[in-house]
Amino acid sequence: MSLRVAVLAQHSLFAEGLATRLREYKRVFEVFSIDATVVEDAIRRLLEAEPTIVIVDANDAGLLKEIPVTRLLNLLPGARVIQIDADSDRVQVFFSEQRYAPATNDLVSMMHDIAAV
Amino acid sequence: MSEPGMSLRVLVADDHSLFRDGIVSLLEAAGMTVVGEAGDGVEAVELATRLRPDLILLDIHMPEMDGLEALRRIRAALPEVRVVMLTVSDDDENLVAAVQAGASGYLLKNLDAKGFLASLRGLQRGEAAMTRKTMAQLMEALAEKKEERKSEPRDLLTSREEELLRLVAAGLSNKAIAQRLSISENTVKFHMKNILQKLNVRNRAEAAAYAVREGLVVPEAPE
Repeated sequence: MSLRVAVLAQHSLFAEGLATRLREYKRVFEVFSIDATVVEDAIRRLLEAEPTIVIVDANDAGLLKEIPVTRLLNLLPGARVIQIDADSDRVQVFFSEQRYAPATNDLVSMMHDIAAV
Repeated sequence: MSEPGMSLRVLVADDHSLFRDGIVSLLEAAGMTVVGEAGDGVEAVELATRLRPDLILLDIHMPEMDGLEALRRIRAALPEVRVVMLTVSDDDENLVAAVQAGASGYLLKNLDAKGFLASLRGLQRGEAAMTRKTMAQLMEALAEKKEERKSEPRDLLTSREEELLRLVAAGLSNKAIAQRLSISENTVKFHMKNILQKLNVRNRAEAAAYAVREGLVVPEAPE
């Protein structure tokens, strides 16, 4: 089963180029290019796409102001967000995990789990 | 240049390989033929001479030789080749310098893919590969330059050039200046070249001496 990848870009030649390149890996990725010029439309399309991975350009300042990584993680709790800085060839991967911790013991247990990873 | 309808032969020069690969994939998907890729200005000039593409996409800030110098050399050797700057820099000086050195276009990396490809196709119709916003910026910058030429040398320096000259007068090397101003060394060299031309002096020592003598700058004490 291919990985669902959303490439989110507002003003990014890099992101659009990357999406084009990733589409060559048809057996591996199902790629959705989402134009984030109209933010609410982009969020709706992102939620519809249900991506496993969201790729953003670290230099797409307008996008990251409107839809910061934290917002993406809240919208798509199970997804990984890959932020690429093409200027330095550096890639950051963000993910979040939501757990239920009604008592301190649960929280302590969770913290042990995280530290063990 | 290729006839309209024929595949455009393109050389892409950018030192950031991830970005470069993205551009290559966009161009290929649009039916253009990428004949080569360069990671620095020296390689860009070498490949341009060898491959004789129809079009070169050239980043400005590159190691070994920056894009503006590469542009000058390519235009001198291959006047028929179209060169379009593809850069993050919306700096007036870079824009004017590129156009004066013969660039056929100046595109920013925050352009969308549709606009980018449309601009490149426009070259085949004799258009400049430039957004209207960049064109307006260019016209304004050229008008300002015309005014500057009427002034004395001291009025020709931009605030950035004055800042750089202060640091030169304090004895900092290009590398130290680059670190202090958070810019690349190539950018420092580019500014220095402009400063030497504007002040009509031969080297940095003369520029610093002139600046202090004329009261253009008060030397900053070195750290």
